[in-house]
Amino acid sequence: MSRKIISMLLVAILVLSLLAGCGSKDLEQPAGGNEPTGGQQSGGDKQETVAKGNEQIVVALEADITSLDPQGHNDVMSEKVSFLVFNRLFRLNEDFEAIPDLAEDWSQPSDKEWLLKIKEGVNFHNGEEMTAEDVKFSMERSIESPKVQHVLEQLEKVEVVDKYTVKVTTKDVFAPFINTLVHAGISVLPKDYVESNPDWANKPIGSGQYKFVEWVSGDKIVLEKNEDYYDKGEVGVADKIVFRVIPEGTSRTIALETGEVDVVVSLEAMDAPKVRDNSDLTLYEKPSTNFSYLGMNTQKAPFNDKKFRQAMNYAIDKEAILAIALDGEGVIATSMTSDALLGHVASDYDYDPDRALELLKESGKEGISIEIWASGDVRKRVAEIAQANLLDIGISSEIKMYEWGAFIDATNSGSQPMFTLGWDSNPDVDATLTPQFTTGSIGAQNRAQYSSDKVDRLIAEGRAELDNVKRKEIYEEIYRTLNDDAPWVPLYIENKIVGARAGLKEVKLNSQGLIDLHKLHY
Amino acid sequence: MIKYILRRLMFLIPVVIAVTFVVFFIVSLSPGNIAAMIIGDGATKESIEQLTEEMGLNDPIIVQYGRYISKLVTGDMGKSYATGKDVSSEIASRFPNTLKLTILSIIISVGISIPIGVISATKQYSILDYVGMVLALIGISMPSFWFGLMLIIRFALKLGWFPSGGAEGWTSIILPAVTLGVASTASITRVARSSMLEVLPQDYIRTAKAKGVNKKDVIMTHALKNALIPTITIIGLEFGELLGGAILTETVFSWPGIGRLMVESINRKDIPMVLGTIIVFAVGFSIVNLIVDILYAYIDPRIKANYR
Repeated sequence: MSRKIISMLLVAILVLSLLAGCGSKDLEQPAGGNEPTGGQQSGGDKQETVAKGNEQIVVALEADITSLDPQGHNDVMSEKVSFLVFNRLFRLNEDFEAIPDLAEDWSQPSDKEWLLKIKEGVNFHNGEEMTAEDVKFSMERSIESPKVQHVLEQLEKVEVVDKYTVKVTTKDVFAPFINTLVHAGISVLPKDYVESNPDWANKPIGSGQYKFVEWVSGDKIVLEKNEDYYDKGEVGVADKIVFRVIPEGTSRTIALETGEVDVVVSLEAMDAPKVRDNSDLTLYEKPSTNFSYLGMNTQKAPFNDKKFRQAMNYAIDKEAILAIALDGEGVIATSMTSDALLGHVASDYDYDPDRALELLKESGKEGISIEIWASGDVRKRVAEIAQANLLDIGISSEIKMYEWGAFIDATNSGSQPMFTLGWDSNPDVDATLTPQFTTGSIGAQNRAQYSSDKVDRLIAEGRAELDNVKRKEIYEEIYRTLNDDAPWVPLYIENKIVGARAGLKEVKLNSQGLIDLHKLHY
Repeated sequence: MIKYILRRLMFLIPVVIAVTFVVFFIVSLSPGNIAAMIIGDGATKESIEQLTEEMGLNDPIIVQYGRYISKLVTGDMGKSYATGKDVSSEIASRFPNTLKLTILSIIISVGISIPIGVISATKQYSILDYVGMVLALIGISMPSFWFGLMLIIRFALKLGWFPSGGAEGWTSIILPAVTLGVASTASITRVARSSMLEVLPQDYIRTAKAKGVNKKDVIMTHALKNALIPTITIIGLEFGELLGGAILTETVFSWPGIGRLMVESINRKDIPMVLGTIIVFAVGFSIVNLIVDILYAYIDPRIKANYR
């Protein structure tokens, strides 16, 4: 009889432990907020050692590229391939500034017109010379492509002036114009080839340092050197560049350790110390443009009270969030963008729970409860720390987790409360301010539902102001206003972390990650 | 027999229709704006609405489904919302990888589990039996991605015998196949063991022994063959599951199979790709079941008689 009881107890224990173990396995969510999945989404045929000569450089990517057509994607991952196969009029250097690539000369005959002359003698991989027709074609095509049409949204028309010059007319006076031309979506495509080959994206032809060889879906992309690259000072070094898709962070690091890959584009933050301590490997870091914040729906109580929002800015311990969410691999954000952008003014907020409590009392909102919405592992940790911080000042909060697609919808529904999200900045400050803080952007990217006539006006002025000094002043005023209105609690800016074999040279990063891959060599 | 097979193959059509119907509705109705996800950053309200209209996503779901089915019957699975590439060519390039991995995993699994199961049964309650059962328990308790990572660290990193991932060369399939094989071993071993245990005390086994048939033949020819029916059932089920794509293993080993493709597409609400991979899975699973049923016929003549 007692044996029966014991065995039943054992069975009960087994069943209970089964149920305890049964949580849903959280599949890797994209770490980023507004980043597309791919973006902040390959192997030698030798087993152990990789080619130590420069026959082949292998780059590990965290997700497969979306498209070989530079106008068929809008993510940083696919850009890396596009930048090697194609050229743009301008590109970004290490300091995130736009420098000329194909552009030889540019000027503004009038406020809304831009004359752009490309270099002569640039050949596509099929031998044909690039002309202004190709530039015009590429620009017009970009507006037709859903994924990149927002880049040249200001384009009114583009005309061919002579064999190597185009004239672009913008709808409004648009100061950031040059900066928009660095986007992969404005790569110059070979007009004849694209028009005569509807399937051209499967065998793309560009003018870049590397030619396309093959794309094995989900596995790798292979490129080979273009010996006839137009700029002899920027020719590719390695004979071949292979991009290998390795979704699992640990596997990427291991592939680097075994030498199967030469460089890992997004190293897992927690593997950074291991790579740092390994003498065969080198770690490279740079603050990215990837910005994380706690947004607040300024049209919904209690977040519609400015004092309450300011209280939030004093209540959150950003150092703790940086340490826990990112293993410290980043910097604290002091305003609505990274400090590299034009006009940035740091706010005065710091971690001061007493001041937060004071402001709470002034706003009459002590002891209330709110909700915090988040998506994905990293953001969940951020929300948890915020929750703890808020509890310290007497505010209780409930965290609601969402699946990514649902989250994007829900945070635009109008009923979103406080939420945590990220944003990837573009070199021009307007490209962040307009989508995030203009009234017209509510329901699209402006999830804080922030609306201020003053800021709307200033943003429009800033976009149209061609004098850089005056432009800076306008943006400084915007930053000061936003800091005061506090639609967000800016949190941190992630570091881009790249790991490479120690002997690999010319590993350059800008805030969007690894650049100038054509220069990589041993 | 042929008629039976043909009839079973005809069943695939309602299976595919039912599966696509359910999946289409679930994915369409789940939250998340498809156009917004495709465009990504920089999506403005206008561009989202324009793309939604272009893709026909404003039509009632039943209309969208009708469009999909009418294209499907011509063999056109549509284009991926995310990459714009043909769904059928994407799947065609990735499915063979999953198939290769699945077949090798099952071979490894069967190669381990049947001997262990048979030995455990014939030497019941011996030390070999307990060891076998404990090993099986460990095999099924280990998370496959953890085990995969352990194998990578030991055999790829420390010893350098195998690549740590990818699909390059014949060596790259070994570690993922072992990972998956071990995971399936437990259930196959247990079933092999228990069905052997049922068969061994039977009268005809005693008769065979009495006849003087040597021990090996008793076990292999007389006992095992009868124990195979339940065993093959479970092997078929495991094969079907693996065919659906061992997603975690494919991720850890960056193996370009359809499991990863399916999950990525679901996350991106890439409906044509989701449907494409699920159709492949449903058809694959049905065919495996059919093969299992046919094998029954060859193992047990009594069943063959029933297949009209």
